[in-house]
Parts: sequence; C-alpha cells; structure tokens
Amino acid sequence: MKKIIVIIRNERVQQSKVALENLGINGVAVLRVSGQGRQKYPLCTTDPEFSLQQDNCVSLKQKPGLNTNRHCPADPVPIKREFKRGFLPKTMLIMIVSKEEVLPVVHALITANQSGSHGDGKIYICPIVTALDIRNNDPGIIVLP
Amino acid sequence: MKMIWAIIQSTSTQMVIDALEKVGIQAMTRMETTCYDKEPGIPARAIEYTEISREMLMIVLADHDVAKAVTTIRTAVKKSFKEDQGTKTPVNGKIFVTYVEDFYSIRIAQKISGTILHEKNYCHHTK
Repeated sequence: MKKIIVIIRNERVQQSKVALENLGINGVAVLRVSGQGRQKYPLCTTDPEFSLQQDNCVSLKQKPGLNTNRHCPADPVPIKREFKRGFLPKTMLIMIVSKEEVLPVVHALITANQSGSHGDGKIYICPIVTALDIRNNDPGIIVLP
Repeated sequence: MKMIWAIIQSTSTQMVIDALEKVGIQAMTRMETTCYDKEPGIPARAIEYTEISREMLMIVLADHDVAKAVTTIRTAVKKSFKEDQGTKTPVNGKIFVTYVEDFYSIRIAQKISGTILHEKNYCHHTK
C-alpha cells in the first residue's frame, strides 16, 4: 500500500476527482492548504510619482495651448505589473492505493492537472506500514475503499 | 528523499519561513491545524478551549538537507519564543520526518527521484 499526497490548483480539484473516480479510487481526503514554490503571483502596484512625471505631465506638455504649470489632472494611473513569490492557495489530496494502482493514478492526476506552467503541483508517494479499518478492525489491503 | 512535517505555533510561522528561505529552502506547504497536547488550554469563563490552533509546514527535501532544515526550524522557533517570552507558554511544537519514495512534478510530467528540489538541484535536473 502506498500513500499518495498530491498538491494541485484549486480549480483542478473537480477534474482530478473525476479522473480518480474513473480509476475506481473513491476514498480521497481533501485539504485546503497554501503553498510556496516557483509560481509567482502578480502584484498590482501604483507609483503615483512615477506615473505623474512620466505619463500625464509629459503628454500634457506636448499638447499646445495647455497650461503646464497647473497640477496634473487625476487621470487613471498606469499600473506597473510586478510579480512576487509567496504562499498561494492550493488543495492537497491524500489517498491510499495499492501498489499496482500507483502508476495509473499518477498518470491520471498528471493528465488532469498539467497546464505546463509553474504551480501545477507535485505528487509524493510515501510508504504505508499498515492500515486498519476503524469500523471493523480489518487490516491491510481490505481497508482500501 | 524525506518529508518534514513541522507543527509550530502560528506566531512563529513567519520567522520559521524566513529562516528557511535564508538557507535556501523556499518550497513548502503550510496548513492550519489544531492540536491537543500537554499544553494547558485557553480558559474563557466557564469553558476551556483545549484544542489550540497551530500551523503545520510540509517540506520535501533531499536526504542531505534534512538536518539543516530541522536545525533551522528549531533555532527559529526558539528565537521567536525568546522574543515573546512572558506572554506565551513554552510550547515549541513537533517535527516529524517521514520517508518519500517517489516524487513527480505535474508541470513537466516527470518522475524526479533521488536528489530533488531545492531550486538549484531541481533547475539543473530539468535542464
């Protein structure tokens, strides 16, 4: 038996669930987590001083007949897009599968979640020493749903 | 390959993350959790809340980085506790290290075994 820990994007949970159900994997624990890796998120920052000097005033000066000594009008400030690394919301799926099911599950999860950009997620496979069903104390492979 | 689960106080999480980033460990997952332990609960009138909120960090590392990560976490937590001494109870948390057999990156759809991650190794591997 193996434990598969998958960290994926929140919007891909439903697709992953369908992919797992097609393989007959019904027992999955879902946790909302936040993760940090190489994915970056955009920061919408405004620098009023920069935008006032570079964009608005320059464009006003270029127009003939306009009083350039006047304070610049409150035009929409252009947005400088910056990207920052930090914790982003993700979903963690935890499932226990038999040894033979590991590869099909991994392939199904990759197919359902791959977009080719940073932040797609990770799959970890960990060993399980033993498992017991709480309802009737069944050990081992019988526990699998 | 090893997986580290660190259960720490919420107040010292940021300090631990900063310390880990300083030693080059940037990829991690954090989740909120609650703990019930030897620590006394928080009394509120007639009720005592025994389940206390904690943060859990999950980090996957190559074997040779585990000792460094564990030392960093312990040092950062102790440092944050010293800063908050007098207001906090002396509970530092727990660190569990488990074994990871395989590791797949979904983006490149590839198994990355042996030495993994942390940035330099991982970038080198993918190139």
